[in-house]
Amino acid sequence: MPAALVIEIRNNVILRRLSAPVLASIDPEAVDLTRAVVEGCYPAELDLFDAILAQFEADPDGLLEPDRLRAPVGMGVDIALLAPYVLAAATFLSAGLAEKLADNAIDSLGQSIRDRLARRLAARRGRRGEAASEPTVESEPALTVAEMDEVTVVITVHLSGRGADPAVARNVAECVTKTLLSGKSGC
Amino acid sequence: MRDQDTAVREVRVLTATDSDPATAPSPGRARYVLLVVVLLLAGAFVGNLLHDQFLGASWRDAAQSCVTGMDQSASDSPEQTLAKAEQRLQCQAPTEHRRAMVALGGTVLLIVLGLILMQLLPYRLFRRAGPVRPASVEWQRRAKEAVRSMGGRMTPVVVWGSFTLREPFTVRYLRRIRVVLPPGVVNLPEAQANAILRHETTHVVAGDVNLVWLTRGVWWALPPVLLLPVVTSAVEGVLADSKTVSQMLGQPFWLEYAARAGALLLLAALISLSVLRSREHEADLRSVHGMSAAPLQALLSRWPDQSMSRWQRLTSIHPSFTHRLTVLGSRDLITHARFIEGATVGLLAAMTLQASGFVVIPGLTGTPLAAYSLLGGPLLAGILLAIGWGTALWRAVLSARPANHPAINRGALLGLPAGIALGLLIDLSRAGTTTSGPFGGWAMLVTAPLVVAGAGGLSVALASLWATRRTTAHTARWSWLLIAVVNAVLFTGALWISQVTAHLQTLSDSWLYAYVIGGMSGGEGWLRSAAVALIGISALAWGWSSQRLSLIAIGVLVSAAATAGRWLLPSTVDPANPGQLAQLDWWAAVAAGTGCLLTVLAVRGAAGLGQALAVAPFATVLTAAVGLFRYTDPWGVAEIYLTRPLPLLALTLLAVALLAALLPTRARLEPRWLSPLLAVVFTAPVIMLIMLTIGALVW
Repeated sequence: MPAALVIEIRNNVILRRLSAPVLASIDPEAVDLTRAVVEGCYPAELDLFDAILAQFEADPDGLLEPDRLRAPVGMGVDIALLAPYVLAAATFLSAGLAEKLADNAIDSLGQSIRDRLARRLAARRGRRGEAASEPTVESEPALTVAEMDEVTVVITVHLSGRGADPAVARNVAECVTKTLLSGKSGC
Repeated sequence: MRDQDTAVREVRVLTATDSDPATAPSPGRARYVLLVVVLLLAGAFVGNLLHDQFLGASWRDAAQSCVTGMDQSASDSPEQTLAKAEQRLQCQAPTEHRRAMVALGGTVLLIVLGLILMQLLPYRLFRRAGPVRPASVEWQRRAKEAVRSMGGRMTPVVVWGSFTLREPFTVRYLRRIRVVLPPGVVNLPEAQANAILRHETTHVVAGDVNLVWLTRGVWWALPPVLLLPVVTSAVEGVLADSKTVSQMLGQPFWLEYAARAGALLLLAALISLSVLRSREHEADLRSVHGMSAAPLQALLSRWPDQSMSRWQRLTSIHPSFTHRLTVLGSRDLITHARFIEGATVGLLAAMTLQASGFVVIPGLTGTPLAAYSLLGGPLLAGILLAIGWGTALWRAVLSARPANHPAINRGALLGLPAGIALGLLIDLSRAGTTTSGPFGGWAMLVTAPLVVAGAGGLSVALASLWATRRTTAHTARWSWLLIAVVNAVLFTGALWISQVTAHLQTLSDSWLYAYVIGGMSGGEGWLRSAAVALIGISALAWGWSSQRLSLIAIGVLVSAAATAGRWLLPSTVDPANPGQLAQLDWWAAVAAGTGCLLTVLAVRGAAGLGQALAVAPFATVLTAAVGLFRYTDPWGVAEIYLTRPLPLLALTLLAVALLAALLPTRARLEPRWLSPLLAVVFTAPVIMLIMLTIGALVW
């Protein structure tokens, strides 16, 4: 049997095991948004998406907490997966906008911005046919550059607070904001 | 900015043209070996303690019975005294060998535990980084290619670590090397991902994986081994009727033992981290050898450096990104020849000196090699110094631009003696003998640092000579072997004679006696070895020197001046005493060598030290040879005329080399005939002084 096939089978088994628990508590909108961001901005992580999702659902903080191994023959660089941070950002937005989460940062966004973001998020579900009755938002005015920046800052602060490197947090926040507002995958 | 400045100071120009990474020895690797040896010798000390605890009484009884069985009498001739001493040693040999075996057992125990931990520790790390998944065939192929391109043979298996893993690393257990990559690597551009893989495979090819985990394994194995004698003493206190645990462990020895053991563990950990940081630079540089460094630079530029406290810097595993980028940007190998590196190597080498004696000295008792038992420690430490420090000095000198530009700063030369003094003071194996000084006296604290630093100075002088004479910038692998041998000879000899002179100073309380007897009569082993070594090193120095005719002229004139002084000046030597007359000849020969040394140092400063190595032994041998004409059978005494003045000249060279190496370098003296004239001027007062004081110098 070719080595590539063996590795493929082993990887599938491991990934299936990792993604075994079905998420229950993460909003589908957040999952959908995350998938779109990963598709558009970090496509290399798509193969791992289900496994990451499962692990995030099981232990979100654990997935964001880096392993500090202090490996003696290491390289000294810090290379994080980005999908967990996208998930963290998406669930934060989703919960905050649905007012499941009391968060001053989300509250600091104006009501108008929050409403438009909430509708954008709901529209993603609408496009998937899960809420056909949701009003379309395509004709709604998008956020201004300043408003977008405001949203990005809120997400960046949240991700930094959860341990993300500031540059990574900013990058992820920008991708999430753009994807959410454009309604398409891509940075 | 501070980091950049530091980095620039640390970096010497060592480009791919003059240091092929495939052949240039890595001082970092040698320091790992040195560190492991020091830790293992701590096991020998523990074995020695256990021997004294359980077998000390029977050893003492056996030693006493050997002494009482062969009582010396006042009427014994010197031959009889010597024979009885030899018999006593033969009688004690079995118990001494048992002591050596038990001491060795401590080291073996440490090795076994260390090897077990060498497997377990990486396995534990590997498990913590999991669950892991094997990477695709493409990644395995890239790793294989990277290894092959660096001349390695063992290809690592590439695996993906857990989703929370952030740092790529390499481990080895169960004979397989695994490069564990964080899954986030998939987001990197291919060139950067390859840079990571090449960096890790460089560690594999350089042998870092084994050395690092061996060092860690032995380090973690040491605390329980160090605790063994404490535990056995406590148990003895519990079991014995006449002693209590508090009596057993309340002795001041244990406090001193704990302090020295703690210092050893702390220093070993810090040194190990420091070597790790050096190895990171080496891995960065070697991984981009012959290719663009841009991907690795881009990767390292992704993270800004965070400010760190001094302690954080001291305990960090990796150098700062700024530092790494600076070294990488210069494309140069760091020389590892600074004060701190010299001090580190000196400290570790000094720690091996006494500890190795616990195995070597009793182990060789009663064997044909007994005369060389004092050489064991210096030989081990000398070899380790040669590969850990000597090669670093040569790398620094050979890479200097322009050639012969002083590449070694004073700090590098002074670090070694500072480290040796510190190592002698804090050595674990000195527990219980703190008040009596290292090796039974305090003289060793003067002789060892001074003379070993002198060996470092002579090593730099030889390297400087070679740097100016070599025809190709590339240093071949065999050349590095020669360099290691030359340095081993220099450092072993220096440690050996420093030990002998320290003993003599302690016995006689006279520095002059220690110098004269140490140099000219420090045991047959030393005399022959020193003479042969000096002739060999002098031959190399001749081969690498320029202006040999001028040097020959200096040697001949100095020899003539010394000979004239020896025959024409009055002396207090008894003309009827052939032994004293011979010593006068030897002293005249030493005066000639010293005259040469002073001349070339006065003329060229530090740059003259290499030339002194060439011409001083020549003048000494020439002057001694003139003395041979007094004999009807000169060949019969030729050996003794070589093996007396040359070792004393060797000791003189070692004693003054540090000072000489610190002198400013001077331009060549013009006109050239002035140097031979100066040689006579410098030799005259030396021979006059010797003739005036010869009564105190001969015996």
